[in-house]
Amino acid sequence: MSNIRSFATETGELSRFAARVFAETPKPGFEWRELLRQCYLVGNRSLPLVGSTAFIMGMVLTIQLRPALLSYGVESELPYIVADAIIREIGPVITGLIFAGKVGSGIGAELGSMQVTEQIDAMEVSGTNPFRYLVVTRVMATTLMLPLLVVVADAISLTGCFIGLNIRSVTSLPLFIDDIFRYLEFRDVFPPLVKTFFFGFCVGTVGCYKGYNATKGTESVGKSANEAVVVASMLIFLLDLVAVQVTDLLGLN
Amino acid sequence: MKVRDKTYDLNEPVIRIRDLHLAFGTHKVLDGFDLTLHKREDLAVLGKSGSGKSVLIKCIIGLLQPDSGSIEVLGNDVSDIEHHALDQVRARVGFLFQSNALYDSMTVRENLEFPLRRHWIQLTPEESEAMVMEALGNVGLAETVDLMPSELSGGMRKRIALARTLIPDHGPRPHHEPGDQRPHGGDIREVPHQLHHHIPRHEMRGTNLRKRGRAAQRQVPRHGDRG
Repeated sequence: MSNIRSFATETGELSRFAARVFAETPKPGFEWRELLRQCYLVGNRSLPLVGSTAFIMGMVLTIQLRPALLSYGVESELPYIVADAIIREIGPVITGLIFAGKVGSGIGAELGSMQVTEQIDAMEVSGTNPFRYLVVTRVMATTLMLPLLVVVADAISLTGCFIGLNIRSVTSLPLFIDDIFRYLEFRDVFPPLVKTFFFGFCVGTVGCYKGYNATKGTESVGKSANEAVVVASMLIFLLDLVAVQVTDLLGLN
Repeated sequence: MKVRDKTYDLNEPVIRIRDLHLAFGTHKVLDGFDLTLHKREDLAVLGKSGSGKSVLIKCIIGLLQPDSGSIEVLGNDVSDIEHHALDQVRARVGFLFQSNALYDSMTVRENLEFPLRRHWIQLTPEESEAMVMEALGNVGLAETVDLMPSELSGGMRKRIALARTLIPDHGPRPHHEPGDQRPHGGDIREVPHQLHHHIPRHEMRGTNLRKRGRAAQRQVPRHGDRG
């Protein structure tokens, strides 16, 4: 019973924190410089990991799917099938999870450490609203950068797919691109891209919430980072489940 | 909790605290606390660890809200003030944190410039640089201007934190006990006293060591486990 109560309290607090992000964002005196710095850090910090995993995923998926499609005699459809799987689901979710692990934990640990060492208090004493300076900019940065990272990751995945395809067979690049874009529609690209904004918001908000509310003590810094990854990853799957239901209801599947 | 407060000078109080109450849950930390800090006065609040000295100082700077009572800083009641007005009061107060609270991701220069930029003080880059170098010169660490806090020793970090409190000028300077570090250039505990003679200020510190409290012009003892 106490677990249910603490879960409900935590959910309520997190929702209130997210609502405060919305309330604080439009106020005058937005920290543009800090937002740009965070966008650079967030993108730069996760691009090598996102890129390498995307490449591997694209190649592995192609190599593993090929025998199955070969047995049905539809090997020529391989580029489109892999591209559809990557763009619709694997790209956004895998990138979101890696982003949560890399960026979400980093934000949780950074803000947690700042909280524990009184840097957030020092910021407030220096005439800065720490919520606007630290939280709003980071949440905005993750919300804006994850969709960009997903687009880049999709492109790298398809490069992996092209190389994987040419290990056992021979496909030219123009034919590969034509095979993908012949069938790819607006409904394959747009809804997955929209959901990545929510994934990014969720990673930033959870990371900031866990770090900002770290209790005193160095132990809580590690705890904040760990919880930020676990909660954000879980929320990404939940949001994905909601997104697929919504797109299905809207007839976009 | 009873507090002795010998009034030395009735002219121009810089900080005036009346009947301050603050409790965390059922635990009363401040129970009817009264205190007056006068202009150019150096005051030490003495008390055991956990007796509420830090809580008191955080109330003065508006980081904690008291349950009741009034705290006037430079004539403004910080317990009942608009956020913008509170920022203006804070711009005139130097606050030295127990843990230094230097920003890890910024160089020493950026750490010192931060309060200048954030309080929207209109300064040219040359003026800002001169103020930073002067503050660093006052604590004998001008050569550390481009270093990161992680590259400094504990004592140096303490001095840089002190330099940061000197930047927004001319107000009271509440701080926690400076600590035991003995960096190159002398004892860190002497720095506030040297500065007190060099730059006249009103200073208030919380300490659990009676010996250190005696260095102040006036002492306010805190009795009990908390309060």
